Amino acid sequence: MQPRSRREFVRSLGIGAAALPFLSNLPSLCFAGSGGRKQRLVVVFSPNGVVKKTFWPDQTGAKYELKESLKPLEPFRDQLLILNGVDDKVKGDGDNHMRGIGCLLTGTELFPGNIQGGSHTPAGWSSGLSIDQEIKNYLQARPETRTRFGSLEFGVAVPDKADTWTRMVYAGANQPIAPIDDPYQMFNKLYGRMHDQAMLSSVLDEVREDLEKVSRRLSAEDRRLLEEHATFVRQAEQDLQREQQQQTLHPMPPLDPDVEDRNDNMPTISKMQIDLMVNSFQNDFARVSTLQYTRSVGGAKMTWLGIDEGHHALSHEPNSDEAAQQKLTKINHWYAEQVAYLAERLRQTPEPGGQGSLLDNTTILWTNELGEGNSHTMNNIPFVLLGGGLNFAMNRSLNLKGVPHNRLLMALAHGFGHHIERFGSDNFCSGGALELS
Amino acid sequence: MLGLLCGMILIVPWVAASAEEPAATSTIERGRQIYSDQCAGCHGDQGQGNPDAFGEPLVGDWPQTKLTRVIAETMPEGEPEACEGEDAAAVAAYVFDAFYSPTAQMRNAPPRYALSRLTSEQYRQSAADLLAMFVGTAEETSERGVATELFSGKRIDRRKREQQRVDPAIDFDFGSGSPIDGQEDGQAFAMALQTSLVAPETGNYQLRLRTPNAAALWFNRDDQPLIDAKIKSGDRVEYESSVFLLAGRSYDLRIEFYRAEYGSKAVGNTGHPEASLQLLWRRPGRVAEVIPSRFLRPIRVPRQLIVDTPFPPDDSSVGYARGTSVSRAWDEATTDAALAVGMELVRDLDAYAKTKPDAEDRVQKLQALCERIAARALRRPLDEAQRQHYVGRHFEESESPAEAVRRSVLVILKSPYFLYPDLRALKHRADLDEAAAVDPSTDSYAVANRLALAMWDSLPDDALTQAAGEGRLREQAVIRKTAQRMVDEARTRAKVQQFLLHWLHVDEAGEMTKDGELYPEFSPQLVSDLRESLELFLEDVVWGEAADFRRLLTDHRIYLNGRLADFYGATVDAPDRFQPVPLEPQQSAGVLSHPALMAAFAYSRDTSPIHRGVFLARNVLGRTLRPPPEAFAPLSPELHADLSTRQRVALQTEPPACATCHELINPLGFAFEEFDAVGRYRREEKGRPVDTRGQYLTRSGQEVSFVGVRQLAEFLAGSREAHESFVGRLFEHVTKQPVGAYGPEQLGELTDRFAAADFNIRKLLVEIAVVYAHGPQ
Repeated sequence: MQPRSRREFVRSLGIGAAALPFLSNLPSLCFAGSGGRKQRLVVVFSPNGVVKKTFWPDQTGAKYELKESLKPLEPFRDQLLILNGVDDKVKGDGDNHMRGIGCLLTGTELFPGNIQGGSHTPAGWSSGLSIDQEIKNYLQARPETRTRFGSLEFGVAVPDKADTWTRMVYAGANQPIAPIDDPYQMFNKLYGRMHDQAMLSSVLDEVREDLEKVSRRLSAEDRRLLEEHATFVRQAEQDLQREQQQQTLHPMPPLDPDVEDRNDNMPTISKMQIDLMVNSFQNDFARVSTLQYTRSVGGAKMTWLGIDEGHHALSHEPNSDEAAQQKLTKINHWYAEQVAYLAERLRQTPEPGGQGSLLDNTTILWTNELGEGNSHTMNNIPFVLLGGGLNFAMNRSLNLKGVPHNRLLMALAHGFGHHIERFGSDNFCSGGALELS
Repeated sequence: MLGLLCGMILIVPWVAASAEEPAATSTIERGRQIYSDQCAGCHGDQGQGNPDAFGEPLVGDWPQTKLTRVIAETMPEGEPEACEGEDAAAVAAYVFDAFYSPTAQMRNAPPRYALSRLTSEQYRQSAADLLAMFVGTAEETSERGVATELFSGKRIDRRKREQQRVDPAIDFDFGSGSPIDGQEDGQAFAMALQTSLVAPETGNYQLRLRTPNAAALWFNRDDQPLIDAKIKSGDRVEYESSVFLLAGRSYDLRIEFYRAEYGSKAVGNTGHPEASLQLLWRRPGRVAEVIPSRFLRPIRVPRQLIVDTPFPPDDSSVGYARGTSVSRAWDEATTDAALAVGMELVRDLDAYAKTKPDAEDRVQKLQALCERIAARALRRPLDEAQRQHYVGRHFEESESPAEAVRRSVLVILKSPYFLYPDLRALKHRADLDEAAAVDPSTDSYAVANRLALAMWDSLPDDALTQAAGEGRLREQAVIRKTAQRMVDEARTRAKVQQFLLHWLHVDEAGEMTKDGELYPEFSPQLVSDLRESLELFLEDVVWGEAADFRRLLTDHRIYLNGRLADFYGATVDAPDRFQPVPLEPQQSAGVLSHPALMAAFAYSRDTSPIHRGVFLARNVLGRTLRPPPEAFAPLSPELHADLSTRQRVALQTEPPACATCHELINPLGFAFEEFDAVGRYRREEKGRPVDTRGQYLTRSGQEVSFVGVRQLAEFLAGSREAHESFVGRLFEHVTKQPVGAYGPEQLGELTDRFAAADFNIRKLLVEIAVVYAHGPQ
């Protein structure tokens, strides 16, 4: 990969001067009146567990105090739901980091395979699809909720490797979906076609003139074909002009064209990805999205926080290591800031063609592959929900005392009106979806 | 297949006494009078037809004798006695001479060179060659198979390379053992495979990697594996991916295989107890099979540009794909494809332009890259104005060099000079066109362009472009020599093969199913084998030493593998591969009796002499047949249990309205009655010997009779009609233009040269390319 030419490639997609100002308050005409309320789900993943004492509130119910790790979410208190006591009970092959991410959204076992972790048996991919894809399939099957992409899988600093630790989203058994951690690639996926059309409309008139010039030189019999061709080019031109008039309602977001994919740029890339995600919601490209920071066992070095050790190595330090605990708290505080930035952007953005803000119609679920890094427990997996998308009763901290997380996954589907009775492994579905509304 | 026909019957075509003689002028004048009085009302004064009565133009290729007979017996409609005897003969003479005969047709409406755009195949091939300019093309090699390297240990570690060898295919089953000499069972080893895949036809191919171990496959690109099976998960042992490939092109294919587990930290863990690896493909319309050796070359080849943008199908209404019409969908496809080419270029821009991201002369290099693309795509050097229009301007107006490259490529690939490859061959209005000063027939660039189109459906390569630049492609001898150099190339081979399959009607990968009760073993696998058998035979003939067209019709050998041999009652030495097996000559005649054709031109339980006869009349003898006036369902065999197929067909086509054409069709088809609905040889039908007597009335009025497929084949192999038909069809397939546009005598002259060269198909191809290279008359 040659960073400079890659960036130039991206620049050629029109992110520079060609990008239009960020217009966030224009209603989306294309989708206005196309059905009821738009509901959305965003799953945010960060790795290596949390520091329990700085993460979980001591109180349950509406009167709770946010501790250091969750402090950045204070402004969203009234739209916050903190779920303690939800366990990932899926067993089977693979070490806890592998199962932690691979079973997190799928609620089912990994296949036996040949990926050997630091302990336990080797494993392969998940044996089932993930809940975000289940919901996406549900929404895409209905014309009133169908969108261009259905779901968008964002990543930040995900290692360029395909293995069980790097994949959270599954389209089905043995079908992991890779998150796109390059904002330029995501931009191209979202807006490349629009940009191509802009370029096309700038040259089509020349193409047509070229054809007309040549056809004038030909005998009448031969001219017919070229004249016909020129009419088609003319039609294409007119169609493009019409489309572009409509497209000004769906601005492409501005994007810094020179950000390299490096550890130290993680904060910038995180912001870019969140901006792209919010913009894609404005354009109603998708109703379901995931945002995966690094991977399970991720070793990001958060130098911008003054932390030089890798995240995973730090997470192995015992609880007695106060310095490590502080650093881990800082790391999770930073992740909470990312969730807060996403929430803030959603809150600022009015729902196109609808009521309230995007946040009123979006539920963010922030989660992790482990409850705690050093013990590698999959009990008390952090599940922090934010926003009004799924009509859950918010402004609460709950301790559910060991319910299997499959029941939470089902509750997400129920929030969309998709009333599934089981999801993932049957062993963990009894009791059905958690009642959260 | 067994048994001997007792007593050879020598083929003596029986020639009727009435050879055609030009009619006297007085007869023609009399015929004109009668035609005007009795016929013109329905058929039009020039035989052009009358939409209110008989809409079809009165043209065809029956001999005058037959025309006379048909007029006497059936015309005028409802009152045939009004024109009989000498009157009928006179009308026939007039009609024949004035507009009916092929000669008259040629005189009245000479076929003309039609302005054509690139066909979708030509577009894709040309786009691929544009980028090939910068990365090179595959070298030719006679070696086949896969270059295999074996490593001890878990990884591919050059220091632990134990062996190197060439294997015929990717089809390994090591069991619990090891391919490395001296290595014990269950020990870890790894394998690196290098090959290149030659696509026999254009289309979607499915690649299927099958292994219980860890492996990854890189295809055409080195950055990302096409199939990543390094991670094993569950019972999964098959991994599939689709690729769109262009006929005659080589694609780099590399596999890494690990016996041991991937990512394993556990000591002594060697993974699955068994080790095996297979690479299968599913060609368009075929079943999955291990990729045969003949499509594999054990070498590394440069990357190919794959334009898989869907194009609307080209017009094939006249029997060959041609670019004589445009549509909105086509225009959009050319836009999408041009954007895709630009995107591909920009992805590795510095590599293509041989520059570096921070090089000072980078922009100049990129501009030079675009200028080379423009000159190649537009098929001649650019003048200053063109340089500015296609390249320079975009570098001035775009915000980045990469953007400029994309715009430039878009404008180049949308240019009429790219899309209409032989635009300059047309008559220009000299007062307006500066290019008209160039005489197209001696313009070396035009010649290079047409040679490349004819042989490769693509753009000229470096050598042709250079020869054109030096003005060397003027003399016929040089052009011929250049064409000869281009013949024995994978792309030309693929093009000829596609022609032959199209000619034989087996290119449409339709499903062929037979009655499961009657022919339970006639499986999709067997159908796929039949296709393979036919293709091997065609390649054997065309690329063998003599390349003799007649062998296509008369050879008595057939390629069989074990499955086909069992089904068709023959024996082969090695059942797992195809090999030529000689058959009883009386029971076999090249492609004509090949079971792939016999089964295709048949119903699910019964033969179809009509389909077989129509195929022979149209495709082999080049006769014009009108479609039946209405659609008919074949008479039910059950309701005519006492009749043979031959009798049933004769009964159904007896009415005069049918008979005029069916007396040509049926007797040709009857000669094949010894081949049943799946192409198996038979002597009897319903317990009675089959009757394979047939006859044929040539265009010049000769009556030929024959018994069975051997005599028919010998007649066809010596028939001028069949030769001309083949030459004409090949000409049209190669050039996408009607042969008549190259002069009324051209078909005859090419056929004379074909005969003089002992019907060598490769030499014919060269002669066609030479005629085409000179441009239309």
